[in-house]
Amino acid sequence: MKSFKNLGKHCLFLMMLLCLFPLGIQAQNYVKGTILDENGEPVIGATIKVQGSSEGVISDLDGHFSMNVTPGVKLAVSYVGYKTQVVKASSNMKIRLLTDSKFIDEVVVVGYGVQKKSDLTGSVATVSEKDLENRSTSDAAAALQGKASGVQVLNFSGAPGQGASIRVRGYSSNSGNLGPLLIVDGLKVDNIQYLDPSMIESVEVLKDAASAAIYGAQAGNGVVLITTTKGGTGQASVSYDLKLIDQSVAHKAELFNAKDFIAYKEMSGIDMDTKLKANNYNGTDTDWQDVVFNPSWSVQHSLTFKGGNSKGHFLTTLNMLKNDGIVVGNKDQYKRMTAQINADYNLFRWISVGTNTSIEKWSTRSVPQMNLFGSVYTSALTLDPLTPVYFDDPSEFPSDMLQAYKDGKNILKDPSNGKWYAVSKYQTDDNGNPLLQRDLVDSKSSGINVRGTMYANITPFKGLTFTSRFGYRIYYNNVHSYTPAYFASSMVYSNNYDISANANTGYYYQWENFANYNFSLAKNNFTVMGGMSYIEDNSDNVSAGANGPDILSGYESNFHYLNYVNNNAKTTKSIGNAPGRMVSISYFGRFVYNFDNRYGFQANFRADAFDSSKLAKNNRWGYFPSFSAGWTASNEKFFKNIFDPKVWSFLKLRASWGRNGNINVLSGYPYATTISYNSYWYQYSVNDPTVSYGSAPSGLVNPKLKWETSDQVDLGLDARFLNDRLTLGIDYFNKKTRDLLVSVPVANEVGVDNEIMNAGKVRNRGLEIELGWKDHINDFRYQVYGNFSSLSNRVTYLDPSVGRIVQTVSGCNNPMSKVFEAGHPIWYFRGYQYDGVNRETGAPKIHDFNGDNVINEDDMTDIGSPIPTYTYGITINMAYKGFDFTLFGTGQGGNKIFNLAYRADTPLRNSLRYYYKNAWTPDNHSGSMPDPKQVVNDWHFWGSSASEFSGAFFKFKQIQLGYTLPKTLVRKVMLSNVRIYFSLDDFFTITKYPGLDPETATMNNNSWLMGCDVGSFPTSKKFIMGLNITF
Amino acid sequence: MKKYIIFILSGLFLLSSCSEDKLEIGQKGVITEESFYKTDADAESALTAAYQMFITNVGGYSGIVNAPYVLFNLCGDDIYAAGNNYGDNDFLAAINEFRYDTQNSVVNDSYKGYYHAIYGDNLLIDKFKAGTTPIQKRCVAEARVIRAYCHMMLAIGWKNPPLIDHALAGSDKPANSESQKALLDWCAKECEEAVSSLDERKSVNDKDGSVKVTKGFAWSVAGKCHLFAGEYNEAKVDLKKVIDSGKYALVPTDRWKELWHVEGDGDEEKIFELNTVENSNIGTWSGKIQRSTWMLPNAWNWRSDKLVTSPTMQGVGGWGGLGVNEKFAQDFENNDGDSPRRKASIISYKEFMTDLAYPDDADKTMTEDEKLADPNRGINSPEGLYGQCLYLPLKRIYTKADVYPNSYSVNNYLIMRYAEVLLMYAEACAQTNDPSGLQYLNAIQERAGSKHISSTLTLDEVKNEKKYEMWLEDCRWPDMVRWGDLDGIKNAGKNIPSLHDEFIAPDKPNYKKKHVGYLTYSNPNEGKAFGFVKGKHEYFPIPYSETSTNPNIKQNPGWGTASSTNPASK
Repeated sequence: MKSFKNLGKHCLFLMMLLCLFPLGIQAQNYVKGTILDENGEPVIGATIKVQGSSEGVISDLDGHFSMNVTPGVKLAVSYVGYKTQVVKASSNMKIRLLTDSKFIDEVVVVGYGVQKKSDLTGSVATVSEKDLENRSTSDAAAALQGKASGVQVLNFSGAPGQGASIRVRGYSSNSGNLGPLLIVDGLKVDNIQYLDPSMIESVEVLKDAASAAIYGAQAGNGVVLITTTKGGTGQASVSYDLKLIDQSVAHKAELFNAKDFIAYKEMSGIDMDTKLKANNYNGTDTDWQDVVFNPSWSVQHSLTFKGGNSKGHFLTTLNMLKNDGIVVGNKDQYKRMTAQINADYNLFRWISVGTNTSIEKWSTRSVPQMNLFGSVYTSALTLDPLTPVYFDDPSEFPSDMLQAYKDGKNILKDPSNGKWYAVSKYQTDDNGNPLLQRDLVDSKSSGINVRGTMYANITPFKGLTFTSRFGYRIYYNNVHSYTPAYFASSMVYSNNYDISANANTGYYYQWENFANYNFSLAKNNFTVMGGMSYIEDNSDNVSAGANGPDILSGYESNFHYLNYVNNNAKTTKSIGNAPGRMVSISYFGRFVYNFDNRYGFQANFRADAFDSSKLAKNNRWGYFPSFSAGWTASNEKFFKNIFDPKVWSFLKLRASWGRNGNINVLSGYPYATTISYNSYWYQYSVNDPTVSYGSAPSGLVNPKLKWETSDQVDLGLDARFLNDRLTLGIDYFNKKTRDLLVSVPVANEVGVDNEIMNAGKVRNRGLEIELGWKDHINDFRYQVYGNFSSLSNRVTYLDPSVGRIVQTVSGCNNPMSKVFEAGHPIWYFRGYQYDGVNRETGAPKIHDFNGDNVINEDDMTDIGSPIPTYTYGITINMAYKGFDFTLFGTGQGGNKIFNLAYRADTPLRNSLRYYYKNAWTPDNHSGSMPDPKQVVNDWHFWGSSASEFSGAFFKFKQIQLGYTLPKTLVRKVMLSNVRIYFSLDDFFTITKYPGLDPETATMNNNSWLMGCDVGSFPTSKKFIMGLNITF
Repeated sequence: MKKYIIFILSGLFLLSSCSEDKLEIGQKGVITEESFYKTDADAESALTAAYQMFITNVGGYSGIVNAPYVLFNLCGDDIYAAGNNYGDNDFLAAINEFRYDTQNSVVNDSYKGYYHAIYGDNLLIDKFKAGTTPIQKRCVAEARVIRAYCHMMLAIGWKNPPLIDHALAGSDKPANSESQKALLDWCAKECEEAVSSLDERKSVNDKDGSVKVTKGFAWSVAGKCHLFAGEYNEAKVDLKKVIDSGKYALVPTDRWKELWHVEGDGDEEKIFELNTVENSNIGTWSGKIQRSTWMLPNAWNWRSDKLVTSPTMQGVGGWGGLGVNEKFAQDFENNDGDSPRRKASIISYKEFMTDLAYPDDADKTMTEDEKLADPNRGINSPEGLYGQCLYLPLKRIYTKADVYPNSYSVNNYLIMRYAEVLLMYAEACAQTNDPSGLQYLNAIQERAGSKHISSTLTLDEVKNEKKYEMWLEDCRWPDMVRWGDLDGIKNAGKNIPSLHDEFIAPDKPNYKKKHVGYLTYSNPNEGKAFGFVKGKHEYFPIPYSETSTNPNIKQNPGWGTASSTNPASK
């Protein structure tokens, strides 16, 4: 009876025991036994009864029980979630309970309701709390990466506070609006960056159109439903989590050091010797990546209180984080404090009410990136290693800087050491110095967001639930920015100071009323749901600024506010404000039918109408139906006859079709015939600066505009084998999007740049496989989960009048363009095809497609796509005694990255060492890259596939080892659970990409600039020390 | 429980029944098209919009340069596309060395710019062509002349691109005009018809009369169209009207150098300029920088990072993109001698040291020899100034007054000046053996202070004079094509000079003694396809952006067929 010592801590167990105690005292003969689950863990609180009687006992904390019965009597052993077993009583029994598949059936959140997972007929990916635990990322979207098939998570920047983007089943729009609809506890939100992964109970991704159709015109890019953690039942608890994160740059680009740089430029035919002498080169060898990146600390605290009983639940969490990014200094920072309050209460038998509210306070400072003119990273990657970080004395200045200095212009100094930022004497470039770019603009953003819902569920009689839910979002944020006049070089300077401030406020609310009704007739189960929603989104913004050669009454940092702007004649002041409002109304319904847990059918329908800023009145309404069906073959008698349930326990086949829309692409009255009134001007006097105003149409009018529509077919299969240890899920989808909103370049003679038309079709299709294995070897438990998704993306049609839509990366002169064209993936890279080196001459071979012996734009071709054709993730969990270990990695491939570091017009920039390492030389004719001399200024070569690299990578996102202290130990200090862990997040990357992080190597994730690398904030690698304590 | 259901249901319906009105949200900052294009004030408002479209699309920047302006000059035999090194701003050098393609951004932006300007005119003309009030008639007439000017430049550059005489729908794919001559004739006729409704410049002192379309500008454009169409007698008639109007005059010799700078805005010689006056109430990016040539001051000013110090007149440090053709420089020097015109157009390296003020000069007075031995001036880069000969450009170097306040230009964008009218008239006379044009040719020469004064009017004399007087004013290349005088570019892209200074060359006699320029030559195009091709390069190609979207357009000879670059037909 030593186990009784511990019972005091387990009230529930004690209560249950007390209830059963009278049974135990009628002792006769004692039999003893242990009850274990499939993993060999003791089952606590299992009921052991003599079959057919009410006599029984329950198992204790170690799974032991003893009872006074005659050996040989049949005992029934039962426990919730396990199959009841009947065994003959004997001494020292070991009883192993098997899980009952009916009970492992989780409930899945679908739009406006929940469904049992077994009833699902569409394709819904679920990521549970457990998958998101103890991650170093503070962004819910980033935490989803690699955890579900069909979901691509794009981290286009590793900057602190930079949220990841989610793509569900491909890229079905050529606009920037490719992200899914995000719903948190029923509230439509603009981002999920505020949600710390630790606050999430589950994430459901509605992947197929049938599941998403309940969200109609907003669901064209999928729907992500997030449920935040609820208060617990039973014991109240207080828990505290701490993460200390040491971050540093994970994958440096392979650039030149000074020696190799000089050698390479000599090989390129540049007279380095003369240049070095002329500039008194003293052997400086700057590694700009080392200069820019510096390990830094990030800290996260989380404190949670929760409790509850049969009447209600309560949870409050306070989450705080401070992340100082890996750029040296404190110019890249993200601070966030979030409080979450979730509560619900059953007031009466027929009504329960609840609220989920989150209050977020955030602030960020960031450094410029993904820009050719003014970026820390472009500069760090392209500034030559011969240039020092700082100049100590004006005598070291290049001549134009010196002249500017003498003219009294502002040559910027690093405030931390009082030295001047150096610029190159070898190549005047557009960035000057990465630290100058870091410090030039002083910009801060901060704000407060309140997001939440309040709801009431009314159940007038069994089966019917009315829900009225009011969701709201209130935000307030400020942006302040100050940039001095300065001079660094004839390409990097400003004669003007600039200061601005923005205040943005807004409130959003949605009111949804819907009813769910469940009823059964014999083996027929029905669920009917219907409802409506009203959404209003209001925003307001006031901005002000000043610009000019002398704009402030003082320039010390305590004057950097609009209050101190002067009234000089050359001070240009600007102001702005225009409140905005968006409204939508929707009606929706669902019908679910299930027969005998074997056949399921579901239909969804939604009608959406949006306000006049998006569509004309006659095109306002959209209707979005969907149908899906499922067959659980394993519940058929014949299946059970053929397959031993221990070998193959579950098989379900699913099929669905649905239609969704994408409304995000429409805004700003694109259909309306209007005149931009008095927005043009001309000055009719040579001496008088007064302007006369004029008016003209606001653009070409297309009253026929409608939203993008997707039709998607999904075929799926779910299966479980070997006592449910092996799980398998396969989905095939084919999503066709039509009426793609395309900004169509019209003929030049029309006189405007483009016209918005519904002019394209895109097809995304792919296969998604999820495979899991879960088992144990004695006390060693392990679980392996993997997912794989393929994606084939094609523009299948573009209005013949368009041909192809071409975008170039402006400012770098590279002839490569991003193109949207039928028969190709969206925004593929169009450039020259590099066919290798002419072994004799070392010249590059550029493919002459039309055979006219001239390489020109007619020879440009599809040289790849920035979109990964496959993504995958693998998670391995292991536990032994108090130790746990997680290995989680994710990868992608099939995509290309076009590196724009080399500039044929300004060859004295630093660039990838790759071209030197692999160069053809007179002594080595086997190099894969041409003789540097022959391509030094060759745009055809640098605009070819030779500048392109595979974007494939595999990243170990998490390698975590944790140890949970023995309960007996922690109880002595009045704690219930203590876990410490160490984790390496994003630590190792397997890639062939010679640039910075292949994951963030893009100018953005949206459309035509995806995959073009001009330098972006790389993902950092993190070493994490963490602590979880529960009181 | 029923009362709750009823309560909820009624709430639900209440909400849904009133809601569609909530979807009506008015658009801000616009008026309906039906309420516009009605009154005289509307006509003037539409005209102002047309002027904005003209100045931003033709007179404004695109990329780092002003596209039409550099395009019409870059092909000439009088400049090099210079810069830091071969390959620097190659999209400009490619034009200069005749190795550009149909995707060249300067060609594209110029072509597009003219048509986008025309759009503003057509909007007005379509709505008010039947207007009866004097104001409406005048507004239509001004728009017609702007439209004609843009079409004329298109005809000169692209031969027979589409004629767009009304606002098009987005789906329209216009075809080429009938011929260059037909297009030019249409332009001339448009101007001649519009003249009667136009204002006339009040006097030579009427500055404001030079920044809007007047009778004088209409006649000038009509005359130029006739000249380019080979209709010399018709040209004479129109151009003579400008001369006889008495509203224009050549500026005196000492002010010749002001013509391209802010001091010369609206002066007596200007027939039409796109006007821009600094107004600090307007934000840089609220339409102000868009009507400047923005980075052209940087792109074409002297390369400041390769000079020890820049002359103080230079408004903004440059990247040295404009080089003077070596032969042109010699010819100019031979023709003009040390005329004020030559010295304000191109400046020898020695004069560059001695005639211009440097920061050092502020402290002390230096003799010429002292200046030539001053270590604080001259080229400091041993590789020299790529693409420059012994004469540096001066005429279009943006001064401190021209750039305000953040390095974009505020001087007016010159479209037509009186000297061009006189030279065109002189040519039309020469072409028709009418000696009466000589006086105008001589007026130009005398005003320039040139040592060469023509005694008889011949076509060669006019050609010779126009080359120098109108240098960098969009004239030389069209004239070369029109006259067939293409010898000067037969070596384009070969033997590119770089200007060095002996002062910093250890192996030169004047090392550390005296600033003396010397040249080296390079042939970086060797092995590449470059150089002028007869039958192809006379006209710019229809840009790729056009041929790839418009199946009805026909590409110019030598540039491939439109269909080979049109993916729709592949």
